[in-house]
Amino acid sequence: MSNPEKRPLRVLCVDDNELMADALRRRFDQESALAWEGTVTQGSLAYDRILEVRPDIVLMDIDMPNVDTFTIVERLYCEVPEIRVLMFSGHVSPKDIDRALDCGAWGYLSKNDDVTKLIDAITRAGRGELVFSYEVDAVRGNR
Amino acid sequence: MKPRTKVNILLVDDQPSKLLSLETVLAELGENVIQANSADEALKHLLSNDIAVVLVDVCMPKMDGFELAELIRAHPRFGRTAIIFISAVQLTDADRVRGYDLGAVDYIPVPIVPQVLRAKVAVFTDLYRSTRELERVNRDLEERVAELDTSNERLRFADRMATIGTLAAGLGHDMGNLLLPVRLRLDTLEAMALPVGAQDDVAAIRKAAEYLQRLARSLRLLALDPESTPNGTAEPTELAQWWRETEGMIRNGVPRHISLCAEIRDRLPAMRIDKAGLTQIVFNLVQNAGDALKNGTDGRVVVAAGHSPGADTVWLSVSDNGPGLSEEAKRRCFEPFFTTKTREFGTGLGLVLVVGLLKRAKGTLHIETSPGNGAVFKLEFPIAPRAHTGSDVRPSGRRGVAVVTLADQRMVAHVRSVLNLLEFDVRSEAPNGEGGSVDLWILEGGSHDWVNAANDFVNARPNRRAIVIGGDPSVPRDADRIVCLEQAIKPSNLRSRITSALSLQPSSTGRQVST
Repeated sequence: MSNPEKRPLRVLCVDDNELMADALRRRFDQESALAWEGTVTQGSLAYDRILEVRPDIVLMDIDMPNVDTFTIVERLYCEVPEIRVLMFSGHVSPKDIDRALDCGAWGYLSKNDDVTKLIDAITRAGRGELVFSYEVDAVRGNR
Repeated sequence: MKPRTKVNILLVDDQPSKLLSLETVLAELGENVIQANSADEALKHLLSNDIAVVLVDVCMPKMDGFELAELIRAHPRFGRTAIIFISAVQLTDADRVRGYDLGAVDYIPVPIVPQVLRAKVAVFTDLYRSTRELERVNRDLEERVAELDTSNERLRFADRMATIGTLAAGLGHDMGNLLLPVRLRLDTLEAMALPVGAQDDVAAIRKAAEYLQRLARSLRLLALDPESTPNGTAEPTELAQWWRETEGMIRNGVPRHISLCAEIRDRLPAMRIDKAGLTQIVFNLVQNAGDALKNGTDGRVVVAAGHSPGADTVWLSVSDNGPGLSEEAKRRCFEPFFTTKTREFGTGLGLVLVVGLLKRAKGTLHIETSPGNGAVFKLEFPIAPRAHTGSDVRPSGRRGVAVVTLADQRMVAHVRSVLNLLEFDVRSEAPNGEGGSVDLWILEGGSHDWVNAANDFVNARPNRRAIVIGGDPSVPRDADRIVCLEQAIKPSNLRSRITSALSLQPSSTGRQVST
């Protein structure tokens, strides 16, 4: 994903917690490098909506009701690999991290980490880095 | 069946011949027979031996049998010792009653019928033996009951911890999910031009949110299952290096007026715990020490570490010269939510976390403290087995240099992430000519000439390695230095596979080293 014109990274959020999504949208307004492309609150609509919007980054809450988000990520990775999905969760377990990596996610961010670090991680994923927030790295035993 | 233990029979008579005849009669019982010529001597034997039964001649000079029986019974140790009177004279009923009152259990008239004497004495020796056995069984039983009580107490604690763990996991997760929107909104508010009063309000809410965030994090860590956390795969931690990296952060755990010093020797054996876990443990202990010292002067916290030659553990201690812990605090400090601090500072989960993290690392904790004498928290960690981290490829003293030429950008990102952890700088231009200072090349196995390219690369300089992703492993090559990984390798396995490939020794063809 080259970004020669320095256009903002387009981020779509998939999260059933509207409080979270709205707060993220407000915070993203302060970041000129990030553009908010909206929120999908129903997991069943996520795949179609992502294909429609074609964002650079998808911030995907792992625990969405009624869908297996890892399956959505796997499908996206096979069909539109240029869309980078970052798993986003309040629960960090080694099993979920491995599953996320193996199904095609570009990183795993914890909802418990510093906001500035989250934003930095999203930006780095846009540059082609695999990103893990601090808590995730700690669980992986990397720090 | 257990062999029968002999018991002691004490014979008391002033006439040696009678003693001898009694001993002869009783020999058949196979017990120890002790003789005493006088009441005094009998008392001496009683004090120095365990006696099952005493046979006393009623008529003795100086002290007669009744007097001796009275003395024996008066002693608490012999309150239940069986006493049999032997009498050559016809005793009146009044004499017999007196004897029974003094504690006699039986009378044997003279002339003695050997069978009767043996039968009567045998009853008491067997009774004595059974009583001792019962006492032993009783003692065993009491010990087992005590053990059972301890196990039950542990079980109740484990059960409580499991319940708390489930509760903590849910609570920590939900708190985190709500706190992120709060923190995001606070960021948004802080970016606005707020009136002065509102800025204070926002700062106060921020402080509260940060406390709750810490609590949420502690709650989630509390619920981590030690068995499912990956400490076993963690890189070994070398203490002096770890301290250099984290000292600044840990210093933040104590107020400025308290001195924090480290006594950590270089070249201690590496410990089997991940750095994050170790940092969390030491930070908690240092912070506790700092809190204990914050109201005093000349506060001092020492982080020390060492290793006794031959030991399979490394110890690390955090000590302070603060007020120490009370007996109650020492006993209860590992209970969840127990705290000696005000709620503004303490969640009551710090030490519970420390213990949880220690369990993951199979470490132990010992506290030495008494009121007024400071506290020492001494931890012991197992030494890590020698790790395979690519150090034989990476030159000592500098970071390694790796080139990654793969088409799949996500695979490149994965490989880069792993190589950065293994302290390699990563480039993306294919090595040309001799490849300069490059130590490792990770390349695609799809093209036909990968073998030649990889051979040229590894042969141009010693200690070079090439990893070919999707390379056919049956192709002849220098298999010690050119390792093929399958095209469909799972990203979650990449780290261990690359680490293994880098740790292959040149003499061990095809060996896979598990990490």
